[in-house]
Amino acid sequence: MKTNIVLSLVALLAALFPVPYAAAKVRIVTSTMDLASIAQAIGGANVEVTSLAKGRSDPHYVEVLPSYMVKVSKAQIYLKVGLDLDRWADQIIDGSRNSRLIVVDCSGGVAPLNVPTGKIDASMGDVHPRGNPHYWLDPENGLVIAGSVVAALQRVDAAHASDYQAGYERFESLLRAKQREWALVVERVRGMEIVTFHDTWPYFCAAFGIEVQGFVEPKPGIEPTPSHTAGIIELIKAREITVIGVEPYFSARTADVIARETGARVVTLPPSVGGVEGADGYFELFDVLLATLAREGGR
Amino acid sequence: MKSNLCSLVGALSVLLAAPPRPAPAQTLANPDISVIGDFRLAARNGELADAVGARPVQFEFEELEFNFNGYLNPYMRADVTVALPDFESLDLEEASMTVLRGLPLSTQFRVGKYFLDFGKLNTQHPHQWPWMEPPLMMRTMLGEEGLRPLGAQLSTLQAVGESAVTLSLNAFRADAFAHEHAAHEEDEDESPPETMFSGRLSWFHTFDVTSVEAGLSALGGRYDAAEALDVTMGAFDFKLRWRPDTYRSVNVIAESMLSEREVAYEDTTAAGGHEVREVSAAGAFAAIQVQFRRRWDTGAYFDSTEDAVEEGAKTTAGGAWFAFMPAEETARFNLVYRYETSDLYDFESHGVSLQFIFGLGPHRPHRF
Repeated sequence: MKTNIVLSLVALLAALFPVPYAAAKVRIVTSTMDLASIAQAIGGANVEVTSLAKGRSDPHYVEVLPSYMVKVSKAQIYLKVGLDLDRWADQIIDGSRNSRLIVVDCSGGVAPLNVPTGKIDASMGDVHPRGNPHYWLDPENGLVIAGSVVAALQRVDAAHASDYQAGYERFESLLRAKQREWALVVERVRGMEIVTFHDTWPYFCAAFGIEVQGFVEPKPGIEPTPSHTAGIIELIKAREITVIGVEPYFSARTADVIARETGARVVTLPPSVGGVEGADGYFELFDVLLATLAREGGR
Repeated sequence: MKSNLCSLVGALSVLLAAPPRPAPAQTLANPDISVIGDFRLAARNGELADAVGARPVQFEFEELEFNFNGYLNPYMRADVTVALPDFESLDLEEASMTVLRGLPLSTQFRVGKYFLDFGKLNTQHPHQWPWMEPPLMMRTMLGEEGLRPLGAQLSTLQAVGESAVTLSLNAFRADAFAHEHAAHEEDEDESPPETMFSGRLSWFHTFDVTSVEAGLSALGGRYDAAEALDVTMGAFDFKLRWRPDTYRSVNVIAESMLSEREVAYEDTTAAGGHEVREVSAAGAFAAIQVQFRRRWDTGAYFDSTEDAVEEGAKTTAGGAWFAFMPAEETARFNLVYRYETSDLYDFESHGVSLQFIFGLGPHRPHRF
């Protein structure tokens, strides 16, 4: 009788206060969809990943919302882009009150491009003092990000360390297979000259041999001006550039004016997963970008 | 005696020979420092200009604000804001430290002088308001500059379904609540300030590209220890933001406050002394802001309140603005029209101001 009462009490307590079961997923929140896609590829069924910025939104400007703080409050890992792209994330992380959160700056291990030298100030526009932050657009840097993700996951969930290592190896072999596949398209776009709205593409261009000759923005983050636009029109005519790439979160209004004057085509170039239809994952993003450029201006 | 002297010399020599104590640990990083300036070219109708002692058209220096923010350690940060409201004085707007993480039940603890979260508008720096002037109900119920008391706050953030719910509780010194009123202007109030209490419960939800927040606040306590005067207040705030992209957005902001305040009036009868009356007041503020290009926005507001001290006196205002940020958010030009009428003075006021705001340095993004 006494044993029954004890067992009943234990059963009641277990029902009232359920202990998290061992197979609970690791919760990861990321600043961008690109980091989310890589984390999901590495973690597979062991992780639950949420991105704060959407693929069609500008990752430089994300609102500090309480709902984001709640998401981060439940997470074990936060993946930041770093290089001052997602400074807004700090306020969200602070607001989450989460003391167990592991914050990973995914730019660690990346060799940044376009690091400004000399005195840096706002007269240079929205310049990033530690280098251009759009590094995930070089697939080799995707591998660096994957390495950071694996290290964080193995720290948080040692029981599945081998799964995460296997996830990394799978990601690397898929990347190598994709690079072989992309090689055919790269031959068509190598040496292609384009103009883009914002300085988003140095890593992508370095990886695939494309040359950005100018920007619709006079300086990073600064709205187009008539005199600068006139200069870009001259540049496009002089160099016979056929493609003006615009990120999906920027207005194509000025680019359309330039296109009318020069005969070049305005093309939406998504810098992030989810930026356009079809760019549903990290590798698919490159599929879309390369196919778009090859179609619009490749040989 | 000699042995005592020897012991003292021995002890001193040991102390002097001991290695110096290491200096307290210091961070190598400087805090974020930013400066926000607010200048105006104001035009007013003659009666208003006479009432405020200004020329009908004149340049005005509204405020220069210095912000210092940074982490103290992995768990805490500090925020200091010093304002220069004129060319002669300094005003400590905010100086607080916050325990960000490490406390149970998803709580944060803040102590110091800070913008009290009674309603939502009182938590914001005035340069965030495109309508320029503090809402009338805040001026009469919380003070000309809003309520920024010395106190402590405990707040928690919890998920309720897909929504975020925040509860904060504050205890603060009542002297921040001090107001001028007839019977008290000449008193030498030596009584130490009492402690007052307030709380705010807010609900926040995001629907795709629309965010909504609604909050309920309450405040109460003895605000005047010398006269034993109490106040009880309540507030409701609402904000809706539709923002499909960085080029377009609509903000709808509404807030109302209720005040029940004991006020001491000079007793004009033969008995003399002070007469305590309870003054009830209600106020409301509503604004709509429409951003139609990346750096352009316009909007209108309505503002009305009963006076928290002068029973039955009502003030109403309204206006509109048109703002442009050349190049980036670091500079803003704002053309504002304001109309105001009040039972406290016998004329209508009209004013047009061209406001120039600049932000120098890494001022943190404002919360929703």
